[in-house]
Amino acid sequence: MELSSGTVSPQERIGASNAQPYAESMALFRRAAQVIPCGIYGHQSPAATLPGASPYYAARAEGCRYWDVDGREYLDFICGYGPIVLGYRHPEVEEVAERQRRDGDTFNHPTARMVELAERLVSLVDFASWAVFGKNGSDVTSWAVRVARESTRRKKILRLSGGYHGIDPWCNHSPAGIIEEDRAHVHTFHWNDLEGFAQLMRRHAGKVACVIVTPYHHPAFGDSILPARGFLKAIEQKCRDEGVVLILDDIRAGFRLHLGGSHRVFGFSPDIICFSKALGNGHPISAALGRKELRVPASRVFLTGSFWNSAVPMAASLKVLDILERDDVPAKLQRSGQRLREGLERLGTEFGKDILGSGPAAVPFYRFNDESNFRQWQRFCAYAMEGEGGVGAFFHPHHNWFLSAAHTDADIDQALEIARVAMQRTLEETI
Amino acid sequence: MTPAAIEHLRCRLFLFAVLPAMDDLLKASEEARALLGDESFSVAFKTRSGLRGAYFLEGETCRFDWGNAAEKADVELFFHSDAQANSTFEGRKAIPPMPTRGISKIGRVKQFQDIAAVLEDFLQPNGDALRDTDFREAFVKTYFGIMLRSLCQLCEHERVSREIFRSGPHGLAQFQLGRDGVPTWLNLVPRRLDWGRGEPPRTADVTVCFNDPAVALHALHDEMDAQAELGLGTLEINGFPPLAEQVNLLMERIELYLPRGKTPAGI
Repeated sequence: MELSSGTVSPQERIGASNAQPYAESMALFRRAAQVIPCGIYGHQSPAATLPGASPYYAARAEGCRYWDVDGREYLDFICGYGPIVLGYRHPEVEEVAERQRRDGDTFNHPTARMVELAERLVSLVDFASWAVFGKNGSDVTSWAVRVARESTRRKKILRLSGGYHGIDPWCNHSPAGIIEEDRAHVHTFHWNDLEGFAQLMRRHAGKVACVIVTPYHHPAFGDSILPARGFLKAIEQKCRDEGVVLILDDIRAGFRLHLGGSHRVFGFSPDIICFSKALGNGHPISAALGRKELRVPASRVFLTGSFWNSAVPMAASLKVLDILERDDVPAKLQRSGQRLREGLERLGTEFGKDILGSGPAAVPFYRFNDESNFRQWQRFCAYAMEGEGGVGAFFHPHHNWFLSAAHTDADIDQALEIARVAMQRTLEETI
Repeated sequence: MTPAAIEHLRCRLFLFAVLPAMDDLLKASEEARALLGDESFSVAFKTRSGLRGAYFLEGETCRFDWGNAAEKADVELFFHSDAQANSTFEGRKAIPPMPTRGISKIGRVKQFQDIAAVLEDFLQPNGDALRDTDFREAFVKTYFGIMLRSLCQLCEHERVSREIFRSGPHGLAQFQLGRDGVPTWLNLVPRRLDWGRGEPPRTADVTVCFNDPAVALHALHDEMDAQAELGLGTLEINGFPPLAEQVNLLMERIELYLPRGKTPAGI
C-alpha cells in the first residue's frame, strides 16, 4: 500500500521480499476465522502485533527460541508475553512437573504442593502472611479488589489511567459488553500525578476501598515510566492515613525485578500483591499474597475454580522459585537486558536513528525516538521477525519485551545482528 | 441526556452531517443529477431550537450553509420541534414543516425529497455495487463524509464524545477503500478537529485500509469481526492502532443518534 509518505506497509514489504513467509500460519488462521471469534483473540491476536507480517501460530519452543508452524525459528523477546522467565521447557522445572503429572494433577482435594507453595511465597514476600492461588492475573486482581471492599466496606476503586489489570469489567479497557454501572465506582488517576491522586482521594473521602497500582507504568503502545521519587511511597502513606487497601499488581514484572516482589525495588509496601506470569514458567498459575490484617476478609471472599488447585503448576512453581533464587535470576535478567539495551542504543547511534528504551532492562519497551506512531518501528520489527539465515528475532512493535534466564550473551548478540540487518532494510526503504 | 437534548443532537446531525452529503451524491449519481436537471434551487430548514441549514443545489453541487446565507434560499421550512424535524428526515409520520419563505416555490421541495431518496439508496449498497470501482470510491467518500461531519458535531456537542476526544490519543487518521483508494482523513488534535479528502496534510499516524469491498460493507452494517479481518489482511491498520480505536469509539457514538442507513427520505 502506497502511503502518503511514499513508504509501504510491513505487510506489503514482507510480501514482496519473501513470498508467503507465514503461509501455514495464514492457512490456520483462515480456518480459525471460520470458527473462532477474532480468529485469535486477546493479546495474542495478530491485530495487536503485525498482521500479515508476523507469525500467528507456534509449533514448539526451547530455551529462548521458538519455531512457528511454518518452521521458522525465532529468538524470542516476548517469552509468551511474560510467563517464560527461565526459558521454554526448562529441564528442571519440567522434570518436577512431569513427576507431579504422573501422580496426578486435578483431584477432589488440593495436594501438599499448595501448602508448600503458600509457605514458600509467604517466606519470600516481606509483608505477606497468607497466599491464595488462581490461574491468571485477572483471577487474583479482581479477587484482591473484592477483599479490599470486604475489608473496608467501601465501594470505590482507584486505579491508574492506562493501566492494565485484566479482563474483568472494572478494569477492562474495552467498552464492549460493559455497562456504566460496572465502572461506576472505578476512578482513575495519572501515573506520577500525586496531586491528581490526592484530589481523587479527597473527592471520594471515606469511600475508597482500594488503590491498585503497578510497580512502574507499562502501558501498551507507549513508553514505560518509572515512578517519580516518592510517588508510590506517598500513595502508600495516603492509603495508610485513610484506611485504604493498597494493591500491587505485579503480574507483569513479578520475579523479574526482585524475588520478593517489585515493591522492594521501588521502596514502598503494599497490602496485597498479585503475581502470575513468571511464577510458573509457563504453567498456569497466579497468586495473591496479603498482610495478616486482611486475612479474615480474605477468608470471606469466595474464591475457587475448577482447576485452580491443580498440582502440576504448583509443583512447577516451587521449582521455579528455587531456581530464581539459586541462580539470582533477577540480576541475570538485568545484565542481559542491559546488554540488549546498550546494543540497540549503539545500533541506533550508528545508523543515526535513535532507539529509545524505557522501563527496566529486564522488561523493556523500545521504539524509535523520532516517531510516536510506530510506523517505521513496525517495519523494523517485521524485518527482525523475518530475520537472517532462517532465524528471526521476535521483537514486538507495541508491547514491552521480556528477557528470560535462557538468553545468553551469544543470543543477545545474535539478536543484535538481526536487528542491524532489520535497521538497514528499514532505513533503505525510507530513503 | 434528556430526550429533548437527544432529539436536538439528532437534528443537528441530520442538518449538518447527512444532508450536506447531497454534494457528494450529485457528483456521483446520474440519477440524482437527472432529478435536478438543468435547474437550480435551494431549500433551508430552520427549527424552533435555533438550528438552521441551507442547501443550494445546482448542476453537480450542493452547497451547504448554516449561516446567514440560509436567508437566500428559495424556500425555507420551519419545524416547531427537533422531534418533528427528525421524524420528517427519517420518513416517519409527522406534521409537515411550515413554509416561512418562498411559498410559491414549495412544489420544488419534491425534487429535494426525490434526491434525498436517491441518497438513502446510495448509502445502502449491496456487495455487487461495491465491486464497481467508481461506485465504491463515491460511496466511501460519501459515507465517510457523513461519519466525519457527524463526528465533528458530536465532539463539540455531546459530553461523552467530548471526553473521549479530549482524553486522546490524538493524531491524524486516514481511511481508504482499497490500497489505491482516495484517502479520507481526520486530524484529531487537542481542542481541534479537521477532516478532508485526498492526500492528508502530513503522513497519517494511522492508516485504515479496507482491501475487500465486502468487508467494508460488513463494517458498514456492523457485521465485521475486525480482528479476524485484520489477521486475514482484508483490513489493514498501519501505524498507531489506538488512534484507529479512538476514531472507532467516536464513530460508534454516532449510531446512538443516527441509525445506520437513515437518511432524509421523508422530507
